[in-house]
Amino acid sequence: MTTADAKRLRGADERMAAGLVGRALRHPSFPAFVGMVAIWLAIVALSSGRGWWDTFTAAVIVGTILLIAGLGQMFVITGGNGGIDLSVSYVMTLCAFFSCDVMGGSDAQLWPGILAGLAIGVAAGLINACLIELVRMPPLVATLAVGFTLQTITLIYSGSVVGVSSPALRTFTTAQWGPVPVIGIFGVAVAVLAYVVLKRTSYGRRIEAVGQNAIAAGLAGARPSLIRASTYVVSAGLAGLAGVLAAAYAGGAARNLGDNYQLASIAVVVLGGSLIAGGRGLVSGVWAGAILLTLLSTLGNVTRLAAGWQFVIQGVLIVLVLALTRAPGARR
Amino acid sequence: MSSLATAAEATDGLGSRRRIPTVIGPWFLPVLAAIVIFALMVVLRPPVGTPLGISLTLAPLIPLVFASIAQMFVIAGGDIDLGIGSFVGLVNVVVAVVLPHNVATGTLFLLGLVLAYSAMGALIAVRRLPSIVVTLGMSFVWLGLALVMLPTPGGAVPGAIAAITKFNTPIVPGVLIVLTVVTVAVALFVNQTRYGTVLRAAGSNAEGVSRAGWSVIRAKVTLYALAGLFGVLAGLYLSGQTGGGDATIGASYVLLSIAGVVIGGGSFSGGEISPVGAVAGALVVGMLGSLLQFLGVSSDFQVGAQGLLLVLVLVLRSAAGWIQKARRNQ
Amino acid sequence: MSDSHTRYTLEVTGVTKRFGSTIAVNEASFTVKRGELVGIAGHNGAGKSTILKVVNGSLPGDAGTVTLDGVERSAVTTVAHPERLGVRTVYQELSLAPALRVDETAALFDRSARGFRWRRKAWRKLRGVLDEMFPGHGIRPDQKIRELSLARRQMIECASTMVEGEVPLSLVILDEPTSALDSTATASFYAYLQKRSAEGVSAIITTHRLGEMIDNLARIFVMRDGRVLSEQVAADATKDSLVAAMGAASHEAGRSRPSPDTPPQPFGPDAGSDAEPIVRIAQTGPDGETEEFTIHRGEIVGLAGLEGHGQLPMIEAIHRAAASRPGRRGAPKRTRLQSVTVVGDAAYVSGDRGVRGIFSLWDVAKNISISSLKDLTAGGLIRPEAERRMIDDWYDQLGIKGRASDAITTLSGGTQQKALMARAMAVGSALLLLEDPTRGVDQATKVEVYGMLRARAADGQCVIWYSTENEELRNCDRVLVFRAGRIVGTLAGASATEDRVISLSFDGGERERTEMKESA
Repeated sequence: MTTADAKRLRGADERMAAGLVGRALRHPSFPAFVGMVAIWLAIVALSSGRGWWDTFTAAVIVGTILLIAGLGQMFVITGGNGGIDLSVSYVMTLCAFFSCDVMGGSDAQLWPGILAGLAIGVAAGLINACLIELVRMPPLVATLAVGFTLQTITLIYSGSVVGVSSPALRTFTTAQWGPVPVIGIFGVAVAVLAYVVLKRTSYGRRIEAVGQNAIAAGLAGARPSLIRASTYVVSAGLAGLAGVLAAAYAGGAARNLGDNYQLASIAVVVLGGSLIAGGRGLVSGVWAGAILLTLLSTLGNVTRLAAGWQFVIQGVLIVLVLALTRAPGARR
Repeated sequence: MSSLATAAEATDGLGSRRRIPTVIGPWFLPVLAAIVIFALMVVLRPPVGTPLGISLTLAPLIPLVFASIAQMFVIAGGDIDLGIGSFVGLVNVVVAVVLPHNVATGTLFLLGLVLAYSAMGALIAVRRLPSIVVTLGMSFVWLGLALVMLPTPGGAVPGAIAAITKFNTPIVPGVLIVLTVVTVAVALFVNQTRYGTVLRAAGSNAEGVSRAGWSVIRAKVTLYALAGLFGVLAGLYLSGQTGGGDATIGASYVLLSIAGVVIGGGSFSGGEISPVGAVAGALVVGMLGSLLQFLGVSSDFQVGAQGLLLVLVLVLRSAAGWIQKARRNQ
Repeated sequence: MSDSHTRYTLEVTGVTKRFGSTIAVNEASFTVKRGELVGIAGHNGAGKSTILKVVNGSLPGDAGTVTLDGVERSAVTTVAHPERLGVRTVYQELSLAPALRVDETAALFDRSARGFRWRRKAWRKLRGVLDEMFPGHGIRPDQKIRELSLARRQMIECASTMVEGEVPLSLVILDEPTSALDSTATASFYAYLQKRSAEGVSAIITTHRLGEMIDNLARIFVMRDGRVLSEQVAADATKDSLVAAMGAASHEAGRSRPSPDTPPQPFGPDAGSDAEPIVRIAQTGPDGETEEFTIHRGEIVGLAGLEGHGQLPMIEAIHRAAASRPGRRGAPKRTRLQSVTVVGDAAYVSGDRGVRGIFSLWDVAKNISISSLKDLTAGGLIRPEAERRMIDDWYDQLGIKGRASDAITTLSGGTQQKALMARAMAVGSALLLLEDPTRGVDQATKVEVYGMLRARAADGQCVIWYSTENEELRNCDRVLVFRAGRIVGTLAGASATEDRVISLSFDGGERERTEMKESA
């Protein structure tokens, strides 16, 4: 090949690389990744370089639970029509208690316990779906009201629960494969599954179609009502899974188990670049957002920042990201 | 009547024949419900019917009434406010911690909070952001600030404020006076003034309002400013009653204030609000809690029951809408 | 100031407006004299609403000038408060807030109503106009807008636009002002406009009611595809002359002349009539008798008549009544006056691309494949190569320009429409439903589309076509004419001129139906 050809090829390669880099920079999840790395570096710097990997792995455990709840929220939000799930924390708590009750601290009851937790989640999701798509309640009110009802049920029911999570599951949440936390790998696997479902199945395509333009989606044969209803079931089911894992990590369930996850599950979706008005979900952004938020609270602990300021920073971060993103779309 | 009128009248269909109920207005049912629930309470506990009983029963509900009015203004604009609970908690903390030390700073702080609410409204209106997520995010800012100022319950509310909230007259309970004055004032503003009408229109047909030459953004900001004002009033009243500060005291106010507005006839499509209805709705929701207590139901259930009531009202309203549509199609 | 400036209230020169790659208004120019009532006629998507929004300053144009009362302004600039320049507008989507009372609404639009009795002041002024414009209207000040019929709401909107404000009214723009009014109200409305025009107020009216324009206005401009193509003096114009200007000529080129590759089409319901009909419409007549209309495979049937007379509800009902799979019978669905049963599945194409068609975040490929995903999946996952192949195939078949990976919003209106047609055609359904599929589409693409549809019908697909351009339905085998929600007659496609359609719908159909029966 002549030098001219080689130069042209190199130029093409460079342009392609530049194109890839450009696309990465413009990707809506890019800020979440940058923020995640920045906060991680800040933690490492402030804790004098000690345990930089340990910091990360610790965040990954809690972050995975948040990731799972956030993925559910992402499906609901991507379905559009003002979709949002405000029952996530309450579903998590109730499923945590139920699974602990069924497991009763024994490994033999591991799978029944997990399935029980998931079943409660799915049931809650079905109630949300009915209220929103059949009765046509605004998603905000429906999920909030269902959430409070679940909280009441939890209050009654939790008093009688003595069981704790199965030890095997507990070990799972803290186990490490060499330097890598097992649950972190599990989290990535769940994220990959969510990505495949959203971007590579016809179901996922339909969710994004419905979120972009429900009328056009209906005329194109995508059945918007059914699709949106299913996202609420998925969200509550994932919240149930998150609750089961959270109880396992903590050793048992507690009434305030889900409290911190409600706003956080919405925050990771927003921070990760998914469209809040619906129509485009970004799984990688949800993952980065989950790690980012978890690292943020770690940073708060390392700097001995008061809980109050941590809340303020979380809130400001969400509002700021919303205000600065260019995508318009006023929904309630 | 000319043929024109009869032709137009005929096409009104159900509209004109339904005149009697609409003259009464959406506030009728909630007020009726409030009276019924109060009557039930008197039946169960006769002392409730005395002036002292009325004071004791209704006084704790005043902060909720203010919060519902605040929520009503936001819903009137077609939005929703998920941060009202934490905001009330923040006001409570300011009153219990800042005000006792320095009245001027405290007052400025409270004014600043109202301005902050207006700014939030401006952000939502100008950038067309979803109010759910913005107010949810801000709820964490309010809560965080409150926790920074008062990590654990404490503080001391100035006696003056407590005294104002506890004011009473020999014949009529102070509570009733406050309720009446507030309801009348807000209703007059919203229904009888021109700008109140503009505010109501901004939520249901923003395009039309801006074509008429009014600024929709200014209207939205005003609505949020009023919400902030009533949020501060709710916090002040609550502080006067509890005597101390607690950042998390307003946690249940989000659901309860939404329930109050909805039960009071407010609609989520904006513009359709009734101040009398919102006040009555708040009283219904609040008294429901007390009623359950009288019936021996544990306080754990109260919030759940109030949530269920909200769901019930919305389900019934949806069903009524179906029935109307079916009748019209026949 | 020169003489022409005092003669003309409005001079529009060379205004152009683009939305993305679609040209909505293309160097449009027209004038309105002082005290003159003019109309703008044209099909949907011709650019009428857009040019008027540029005229009143609510939409920035891309080029051109707008001269109002002698004051020239570039079309690129917007006007925040057109009422201060004496321009008022009544839009098709009403500006009324449902929760407000009538007198409150009046005050909202009338800034001068201030002070203690603000509502009564505003109402008195509005009632003055209402009484003149619509005598015997029966509207009361305490009624809420949501309690009022559409006709009364229109009356309020029209009247409040003409209330004297701080700035004297110079030009009033009315977009479909009489769409819900009956003939008495319409007559008194125009009488009022004539009275005001004698005082120097000018008006621009757009409406689909051609007869109304001819009877009441001075001049009529005809727009097509964004251009102002002709100006007709109303006294000399006829419905035919207007329709001809609006676009009939183009349909001559698109008329059913079979290409050498496709065999000649048998017209009429004989096409495959021994097979079970795909669509069955049962209509209850005023005399209680049921009339049935059937549509078979391979037929192209059009839904015609004046806009808004039940064609859209019908085609939507057919869509709802369709089954999920070919060969299955769907559950019957109702419109107000008919019951529809469909055997087989259906795909839908809408000409209202922005609202009912495209997914604006996606590229063209995803927009096309969304309805046929089940054919492209294996093991639950979408196969990218199968999808690519399908898309390339449709790009070839329909001659779609550009790359499949382009964002759909970058495409021209005509190309977008082709993509939407590809989406529907790729389903391979028994029934193809078209809702105004050539709205805002350039001439060349329209002709291509007509050819595509004939080819599909030749292959056995059943096509149901609702178009607001009645003339293009001459491509159909049969045309069902609608009036007030009822099918009042059938015309053979070749003879379905706008004139015959309108006369059929106005006469109530009796005469024509008798004629049809006799000639059958």
